[in-house]
Amino acid sequence: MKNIVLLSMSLFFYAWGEPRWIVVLLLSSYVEYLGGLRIDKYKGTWKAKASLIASVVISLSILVIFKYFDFFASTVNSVFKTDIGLLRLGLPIGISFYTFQTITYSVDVYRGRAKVQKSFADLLLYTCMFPQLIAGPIVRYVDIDEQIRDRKVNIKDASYGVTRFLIGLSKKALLANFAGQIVKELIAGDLNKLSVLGAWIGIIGYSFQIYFDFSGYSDMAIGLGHMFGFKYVENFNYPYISKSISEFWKRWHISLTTFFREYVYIPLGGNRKNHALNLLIVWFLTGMWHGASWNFIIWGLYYFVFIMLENLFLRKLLNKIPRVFSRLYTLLVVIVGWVFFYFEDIGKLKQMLSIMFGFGGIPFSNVTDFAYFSNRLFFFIIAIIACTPVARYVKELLYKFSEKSLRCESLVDITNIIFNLILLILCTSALVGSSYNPFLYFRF
Amino acid sequence: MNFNIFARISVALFVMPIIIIGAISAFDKDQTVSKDENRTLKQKPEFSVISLVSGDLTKDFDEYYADTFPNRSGFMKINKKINAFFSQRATGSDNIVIINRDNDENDFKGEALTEK
Repeated sequence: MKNIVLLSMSLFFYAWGEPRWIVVLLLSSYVEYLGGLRIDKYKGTWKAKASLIASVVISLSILVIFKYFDFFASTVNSVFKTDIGLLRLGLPIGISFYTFQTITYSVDVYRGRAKVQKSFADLLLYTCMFPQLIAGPIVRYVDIDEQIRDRKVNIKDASYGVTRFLIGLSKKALLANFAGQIVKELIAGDLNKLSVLGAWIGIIGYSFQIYFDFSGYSDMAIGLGHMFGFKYVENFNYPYISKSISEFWKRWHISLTTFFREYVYIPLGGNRKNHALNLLIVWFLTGMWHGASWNFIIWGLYYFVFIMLENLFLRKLLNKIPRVFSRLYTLLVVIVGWVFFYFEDIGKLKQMLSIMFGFGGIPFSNVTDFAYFSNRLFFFIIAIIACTPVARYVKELLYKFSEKSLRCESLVDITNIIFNLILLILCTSALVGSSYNPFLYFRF
Repeated sequence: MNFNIFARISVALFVMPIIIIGAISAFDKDQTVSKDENRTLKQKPEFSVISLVSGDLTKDFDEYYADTFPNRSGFMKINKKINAFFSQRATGSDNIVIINRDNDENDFKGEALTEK
């Protein structure tokens, strides 16, 4: 059956990158599988709730041990001067994604939103589908429950999948990797020679890198999913054109904010009870999810502050001023936010911020930084365009054009094919020719 | 009907190169040295259970696959062009940066390139 083939491919794919910890993936899925069966069997009784709590706690514990034990231990060590040994386990790839996915399964079975999955193989397929296993989107079980049981692969979807995949691959191999070089050359090492301009170019480079990297992976996942008949939910929606931080988080890593809203924020009471506290918890957890390090927590709380400010009065203000200013405000907040995300070393973080805002007599620009920037102007222009929905408008125009006649439709299709071929060649060249292919989300 | 033909071609033009390159890669004679990069290329790694479990085998295999990719030097030339386009390095050498000397503000005025 289709599912068996897909499952074998996915397990092989995962084992290729992570041969040791594939057992964790299998264990996590099995725990949720058993949990789901028990929840369904004891529906309506306290045993169902107990099974839910047990399976969620076990899954989260696995995640916490691998991801956060060393972080907690070293924090305790530095505060209480103890000497708890660190586990140094290393993080199984994708654990943050598949753990959350298995949790959506148990919770949705309990809530009655999803049908229990009696086949372990099918549930495992949901957990470890190779397109979204490593870097998301975090697919909720309810969204693909039907598709696992019954989906049709048709050539139209597969063709769309190919285009989508290649767009994602291009974002990653052509744009993200080049942006990553900028980051590496400007802000990855010693910050002492950096001018204000250099620091901003560096962090803007990182803003591009993380967006193209992550949204590229999501595009690839969605594209591959289509080729196999799965329709995943979108994960990014041009976040850098947002007019407020609230809007930004509706456009960035949508599957994560959906998860926290559905499975943490709303169960806690949402905006009805303890609104501010619930937001604080959610943003604290969002920060923590991204990494076991204090800078990520600060990053999450940074956004908590802006969300609160916007809820209280800022959004009304933003709605009154021209859109270009709200966009600039959002970009500024987001770009500075990435500084907290990028620098794990608090000392370097402080240094970066002081350089960016011109403290300590740092010059605005110097010869090398300006040359560095002006040489890469083409890249920045293309990157900026790629962050906007220009491509989508072009696609819509082409679609309208193709409706005129069969010949127009053929022309558009041929253009699409040529475009895909060019991207394929460019991406292959970039990947073969480059030894620098950073995988930003290995920490998940 | 029309769309389906092009959809088929689109999928084929994606799947076929992957299969063909994979087949060529599996059966061609591996290059051992790269003249452009002045280094020896990674050869096929030996199988062992230890290397499999530790992850070294798959990592080495990825490197081997990249190093012996069919028409590697051709692809690398294209990659250089892409990089040159993005970074406007007109000389082709990685260590030279062209600075516009028409603009007085950016002229050296006797200052060293790297300050501090």
